[in-house]
Amino acid sequence: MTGSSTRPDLGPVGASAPDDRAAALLRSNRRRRSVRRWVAIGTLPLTLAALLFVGKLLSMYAFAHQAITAYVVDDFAGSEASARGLDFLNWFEPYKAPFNIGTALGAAEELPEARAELEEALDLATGLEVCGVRINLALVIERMGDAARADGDGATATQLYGEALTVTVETPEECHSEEAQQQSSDPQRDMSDSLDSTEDRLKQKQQQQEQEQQPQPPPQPGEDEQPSEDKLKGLQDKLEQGTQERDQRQGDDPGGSGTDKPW
Amino acid sequence: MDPEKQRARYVSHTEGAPPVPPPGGYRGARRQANGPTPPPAVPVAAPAQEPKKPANALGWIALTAAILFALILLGTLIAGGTDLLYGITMLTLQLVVVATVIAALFSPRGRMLGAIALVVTILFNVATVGGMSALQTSASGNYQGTKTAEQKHAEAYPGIKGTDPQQTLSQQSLEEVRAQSEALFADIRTRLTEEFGYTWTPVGDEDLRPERNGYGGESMLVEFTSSGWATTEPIQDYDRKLEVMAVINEVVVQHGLWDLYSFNDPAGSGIDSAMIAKLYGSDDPRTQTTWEYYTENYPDPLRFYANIYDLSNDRDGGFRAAREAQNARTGEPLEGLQLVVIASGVLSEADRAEFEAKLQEYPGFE
Repeated sequence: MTGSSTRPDLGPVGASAPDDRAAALLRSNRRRRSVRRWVAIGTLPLTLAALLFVGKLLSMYAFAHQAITAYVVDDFAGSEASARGLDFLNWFEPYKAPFNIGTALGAAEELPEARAELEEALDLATGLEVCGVRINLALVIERMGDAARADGDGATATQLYGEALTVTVETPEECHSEEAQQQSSDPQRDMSDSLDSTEDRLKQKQQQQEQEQQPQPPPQPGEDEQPSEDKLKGLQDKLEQGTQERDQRQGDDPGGSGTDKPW
Repeated sequence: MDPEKQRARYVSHTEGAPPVPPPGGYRGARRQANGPTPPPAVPVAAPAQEPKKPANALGWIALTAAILFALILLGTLIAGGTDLLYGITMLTLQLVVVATVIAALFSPRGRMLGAIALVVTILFNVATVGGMSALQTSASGNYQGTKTAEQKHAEAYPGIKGTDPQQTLSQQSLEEVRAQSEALFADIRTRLTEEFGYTWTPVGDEDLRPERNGYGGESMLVEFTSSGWATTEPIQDYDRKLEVMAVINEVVVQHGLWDLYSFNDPAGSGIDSAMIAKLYGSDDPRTQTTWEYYTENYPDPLRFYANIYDLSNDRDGGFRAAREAQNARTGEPLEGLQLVVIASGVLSEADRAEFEAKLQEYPGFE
């Protein structure tokens, strides 16, 4: 056969060189596979972390949006449930999860729980983030005061109004700035006006609470035409007016947000 | 012996190996000969040229579904349908697309198209496009949600939740509040000018803030804040401050308001002393930076404030800084007396007929 005559003679010396080369190639391939495998194993935690990071970020938008839209349609339980989704791995803007939960609870009249959440949010908030938190926290405490007053516990009501006033008064001056307004969860309302209104209202409530508790109010002009019973009724109505003003805000404030959108 | 070498010998000595390379070697062999790595001794059979098989239907279905779904998502994003994007329908469709893509990836002839579909799906899915849409909604503040017809109806309620609309109609209108506040300011200015020689400057502009109805919408009522009046002279003497407030009290009573009361004086204020100190610079009216007196004309909505700012009691410069900031915003004097009226939930006479007509659509609402 011509084929056999042309085949190179691979004697003992000639055979070792291809063997070595083949072995080297196989070793090289095996090494490459090994490197690839270890690179894959080594980067697996990083890959998983990246996936988790992206997943967390994207889920924040979803949960926050759901929390707001549920709140807007008065589904406060749904809003709270969505806001609790933000609580898992709460690494980014951590104040928003308790802020949204507290706002939803406040709207659902679970006031002590709402206050606890908003106080937690206040601890976690930094810079202008505190503005919206303080507004909602003051409203919730004010509402607790209204509830105490409705139960006939004037002393507790006065104390709670005082606490709400403290929360409002301690709001940083920066919360009256244009920059704070731009970050508000309630862009259709002026944050500075809201703070001023809350402060005025709480002062009046404290004053009226004080007068209500006085056995004999000081004489008023035209008292003959306006008997003291009317005055007391007036005071009561004024207090209720404050509640209505607060309701107006609570009813539309997405919490958010906001001030704060989950925002 | 090295097992690699042993294995290499076995494969290199196999009988029936392909023919030796042609003269001059295989194409590209010379390039490798001079390189650092020797050419492999193992003869490699050239792969037979198989006809390329077209992708199967599953691959095409996956790719088409991924692209179509991405287009639907982007269209919904442009339309501002964040709620739709996060809705159960979109989530279900997304799962179907993902299932199709995974199925294509497990199919040898659909793998390439499945991989392309996977890339499309990773880039455009409910989470990524939903996130973009949520950001867009957040920026616009347009959270509509999926309100029921009943909620939408309530949203347009012209009054304010918890307020008897008949009370709104029977109390002072916006125009009446405005007229009364102007008359009140004029009389106070006249009296104080006569008695103390003060001169006056207007502060700020009148402001009308729409009031929400408590059902998620705007009412037809507004909060009125008058333009204020301020003395151009400071008032720093304690007795003078008392005299000024006494004169103002006489005037407000003549106008049918209650007696003034002081928020800043611990003797009569309902605010505790610590808070008074925080708000007014001290709990002693003699050393306070601010005096704040208040009254109203209940059951009508007018609320009257008389404030005296006194820089002479500013001990640390903080109050001056605050007043200067306020001065920069409104141009008002740094110190002296200021008068302002606020009235919440007032209805303009021009809107009265429309208000009454709309109320007919809301029996039982208050």
